[in-house]
Amino acid sequence: MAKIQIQHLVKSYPANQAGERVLILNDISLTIAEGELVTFFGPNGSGKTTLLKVIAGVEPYDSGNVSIDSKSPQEAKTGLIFQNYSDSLMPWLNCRDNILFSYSLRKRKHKISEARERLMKLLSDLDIHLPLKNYPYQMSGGQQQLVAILRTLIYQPDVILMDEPFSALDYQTRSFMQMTLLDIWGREKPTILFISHDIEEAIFLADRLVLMSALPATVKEVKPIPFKRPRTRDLFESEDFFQIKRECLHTIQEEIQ
Amino acid sequence: MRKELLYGPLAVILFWYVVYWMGIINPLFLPPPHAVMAEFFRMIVTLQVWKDIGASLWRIIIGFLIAGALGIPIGLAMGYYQKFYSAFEVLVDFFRSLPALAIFPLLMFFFGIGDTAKIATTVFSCSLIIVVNSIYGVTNSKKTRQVVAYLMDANSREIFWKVILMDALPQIFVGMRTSLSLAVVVVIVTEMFIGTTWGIGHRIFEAQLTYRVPEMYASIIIAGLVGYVLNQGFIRIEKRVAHWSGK
Repeated sequence: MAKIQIQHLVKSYPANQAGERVLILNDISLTIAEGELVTFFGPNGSGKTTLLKVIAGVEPYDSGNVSIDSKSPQEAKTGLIFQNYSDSLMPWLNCRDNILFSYSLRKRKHKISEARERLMKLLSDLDIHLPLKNYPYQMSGGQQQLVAILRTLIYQPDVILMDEPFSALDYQTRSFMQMTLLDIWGREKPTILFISHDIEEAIFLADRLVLMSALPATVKEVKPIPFKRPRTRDLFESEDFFQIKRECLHTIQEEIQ
Repeated sequence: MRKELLYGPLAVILFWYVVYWMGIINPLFLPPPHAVMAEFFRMIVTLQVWKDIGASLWRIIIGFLIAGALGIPIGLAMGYYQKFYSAFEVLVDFFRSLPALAIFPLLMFFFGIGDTAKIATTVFSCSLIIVVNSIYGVTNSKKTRQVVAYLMDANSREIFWKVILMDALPQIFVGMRTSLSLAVVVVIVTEMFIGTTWGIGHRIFEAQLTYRVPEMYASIIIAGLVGYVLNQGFIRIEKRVAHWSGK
């Protein structure tokens, strides 16, 4: 069943005072299934972030249609996870209160004790150890981004949108976070759209990989990634993995030149 | 670490002695440090100076608190509502450029020569600094955090109180700390004008008029200590409340 349906999406920004507009998204069509993990890869500044913002409902679009569970992006519950975790967490709240922030709001306040229990269960199921009393500035980058992910997961949005969430992390932490994300996704099965600037990450995580063109962004190719799950890091060394990576880079190469 | 803290002050006292012994400044205007120290302790022990300190502190703190009570809401509103900002931007910038003491004579017309005019001048100068910093805090609050809260279905009131205000808090504290120091300056200077019975500024001015020079120096030191203690105390509060500031 289609979870997200994007049909002929067009989006432009005003380019100057004269009213000219620069085209960002040019006729994008995509269908994403419930519980699918779809990654996006393409040249820098190709409007991938804009696409996520449109799906999140925080950016309007010119024409076409975007629906999430047959709802508009504004009506749907979405969650955005940014590359810059320190600008997105609340530094005045400790780890636990950051994760439960959505339950401090009027709309979900009555469900806070339930959310607290769910969080504790989630942490023990995933075997995640977080310093719940610490403030963001007392935690490592990986821990902070994990807080941002859990904070989004806990209010159960229809779709989780991740914009290069691990780009600011060092290699080791990034590997750990990729495994943790797959672990979380495997248990909770949220629908995830994930932008990556790292082709290996984009392949490793994905059910399907969307290759984007340079501006104005179009969908160059949607590549199913057939590796079975759960995936391990040995995959990075397999010939099939190399083959897919080669094909993807070949497709993208035309765009970079 | 703590030992080093004393080096600076000791160097100043040493320099003071050197200048004194060289005799290049008339000792009537520059008494030796020990004479000033003796006078300082005499003033503290005989308790007479405490009434001055109390009077000054009262003006400083009341003026500072009123300035905060006015400045924070106005600054937050100006930072949040673009129209409100545009309407008052020029006014705030003009009054901020105006030396506060320039309007003290005017305020004495309205409020007389008592405490009210002094406090009003303090409120005037301090509130503007707090307004400007509060505006700055709001306009620089991270858009990302607001988007996060918005996507969690926070209403605009919750976004303001739970995100924007908190994000602005460190900058509001910067404004308050700056204005607390300014409050000390304004109060001490206004106390030198006519109509003051008690106050550190008044004591400095009186001592100067009557050539009680060691007392003048000691009073200046007391003024400095009052400012220092207030500032340190405020930094403590700031570190507790806006603990994430600068991290």
